[in-house]
Amino acid sequence: MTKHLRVLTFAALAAIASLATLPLARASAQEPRLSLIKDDATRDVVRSLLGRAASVGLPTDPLLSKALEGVAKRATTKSIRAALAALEKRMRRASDLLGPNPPEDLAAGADALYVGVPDKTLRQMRAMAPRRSIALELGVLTELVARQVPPKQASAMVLDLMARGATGAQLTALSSAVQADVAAGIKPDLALDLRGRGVMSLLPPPPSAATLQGRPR
Amino acid sequence: MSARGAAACAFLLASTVALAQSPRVLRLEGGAAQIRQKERTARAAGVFGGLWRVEGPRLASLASAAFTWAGDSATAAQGIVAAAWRPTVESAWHTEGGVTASAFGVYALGRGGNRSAYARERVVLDDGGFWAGGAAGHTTRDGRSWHSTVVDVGAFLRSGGLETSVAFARLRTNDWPLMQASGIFLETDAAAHDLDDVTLAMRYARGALALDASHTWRGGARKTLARQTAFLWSAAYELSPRYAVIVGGGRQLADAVRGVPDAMVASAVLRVVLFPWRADAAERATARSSARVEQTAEGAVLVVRVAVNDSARVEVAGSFSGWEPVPLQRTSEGWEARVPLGPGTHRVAVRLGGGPWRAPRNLGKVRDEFGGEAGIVVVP
Repeated sequence: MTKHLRVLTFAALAAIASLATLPLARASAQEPRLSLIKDDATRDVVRSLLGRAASVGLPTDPLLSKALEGVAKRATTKSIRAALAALEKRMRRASDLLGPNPPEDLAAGADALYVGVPDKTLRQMRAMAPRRSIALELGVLTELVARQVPPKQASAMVLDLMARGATGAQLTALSSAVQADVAAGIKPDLALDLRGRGVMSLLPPPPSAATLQGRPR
Repeated sequence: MSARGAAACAFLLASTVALAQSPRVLRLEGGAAQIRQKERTARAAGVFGGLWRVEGPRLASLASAAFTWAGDSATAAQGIVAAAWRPTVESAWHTEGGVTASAFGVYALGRGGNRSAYARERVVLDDGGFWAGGAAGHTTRDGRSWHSTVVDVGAFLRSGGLETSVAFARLRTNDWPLMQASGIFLETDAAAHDLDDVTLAMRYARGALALDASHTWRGGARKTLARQTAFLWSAAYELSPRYAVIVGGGRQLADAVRGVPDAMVASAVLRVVLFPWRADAAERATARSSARVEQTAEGAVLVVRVAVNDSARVEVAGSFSGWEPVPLQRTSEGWEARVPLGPGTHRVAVRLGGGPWRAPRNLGKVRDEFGGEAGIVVVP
C-alpha cells in the first residue's frame, strides 16, 4: 500500500467514524435545555449520557429532566451521573418488558419499576394493550404505590381495571379518591380496595383476552 | 457621638427587624450606618440586632432587640415584643399588638428612655385589605416626661410580586423639644403639636430580591407649623437561605411615639439566619403544602397552595417546568400557583425560602436519587 493510499484509507475511516457519531452529537447539540446546566463538568457528563441513550434508541427527555432535577437540588456531578445511569438502566429494562413502545411508555415504565412495581406487571399490562400507549395506566400505578399501596395489590387492581376497560379518567379518579381517603386517615390498601370495587361495579366483566388486544382508548 | 443619630439608627434597625419574615426564626444582623440629624454633621455607627419569631396557625409572636454604638458618646438600645392573632385560620380579621422599650442618649436632646404600645386590626382579603390602629408613647428625657399618641388607617393591594399601601396617621404630642429639634414649631402657644402623615409604600419581591420604598408627606394641623416630606428605601438580597444583605437609606421623620428624632440615614447590614435549620424549612414545606390537578377549558392546571404567611419566598418546580423554580403568589391564605400541565406523569416539589425541595403533603411521594423527595401527579 502506498503512502497516499494509507492516508486516504485513514481519512475514509475517520470520516465513517465521524458519520457514525453524528446522530449522537446532533442529539446532544440540539438540546437547548442543556444550557440550563451551568456547571461545565455536569453539562459534559449529561451531554455524554444523553448521546449514549439516543444512540440506542432510548428517549432523552426523562434523562434530561432527571439531570435538571439534580441541578435544582444542588446535587453533585457524581450523584447526577449515578442517577442518570440508573434511570437509563431502568428504561432499558422497561424496554425489554414493554417491547416495541411509544417513548412515553418507557419513561412511565421506568418510574413504575423505580417504586417497586414487579416486572411481571409491566409484561401483563403490555399484553393487555399491545397496540397503544399504557403510560397513563403505568402513571396511575406508580402514583398508587407512591401513596404506600403495596405494589402487588396496586398491580392487581390496575390490571383488573384494565381488563374491564376502565378509562383513563376512571383510573385517575380512582387515584384521587384513594388520595382523599388516605388524607382522611384510611390505610392505603383499604382505600384502594374500597375505591377499586366502586369503579369495578360500574364496569362490565372482563372480556376474553382476544377481544382485549385491539381495544381502542 | 451623635446620640440622636444612634437612636434614629436603632429605630431604623428595629424597623427592619420588625418587618422580618418567616415563622420560628432566629436571626442576627450587623452592619454599619451613617446618620445625619437635622442641622448636625453626619456620624458613623455600628448597628446590631436580633430577632426571634414564632408562628402558629392562629397566633404569631415576635421579639426583637437592636443596639447602636457610635463610639464617641451615647449608645441606644431598643426592644420590641409583639403578637398577631386571628380567631380562626380562615378568618380575615387579624388583631395585632405590641410594646416597645428603648434607652438612648440623644445629642442636643439629652439622655432618656421611651416606652410605647400599639394595637391594630387588619382585615386581609384575597388581594388586599385595610387596617386601623393606634399607639401611645411615653418618653422620659433628663427627668422630664412627654406623651404622644397616634391613630392610623390604611389599605393595601397586592398584585403579583408588588404590594402597595397607603396610610393616613394623625399624631398628637407634647414633646416640644423633639419637635423643635426636628424643625416643627407651633404657630401660637398650645398644649400639643398635631401632625398629619400620609404615607405611600411599595414592596416588590421577586426571587431572592425584595425592594421596599416609602414616601411620607407630613403637614401640621391646628396650630402646628410643619411641611415635610421623607423618602425611605431598602433593598434586601438573599445570598443563600442563611445569608442576606440589606442596604437602605433616606430620611426618617421624627417619631414622637417612640422618641426618635428626624434624621437622614444610610445603612448596610448583613443578616445571618441561625434558625430555622434547613430541616425545619423542609418539614414546613411538606406540612403546609398541597397540590391538585384541576381540569379547565384550556386543559389541566396544577394548583399548588402553601399555607404559610410569612415566608419570604415560596416556589414550585417539577418535570413540567424543567425543574426551573416557579414562584408562588401571595394570597390571603398564604401562597398559590397555577401551572398548566400536559398529559403524563409529573414530579412536583415545593420549597420555602430557598430551602430543600419537598413533596406537597397530599401527594404520593417518591425518594429522588439526590437525598430528597418529589410528589407525583398523573394527568389523563
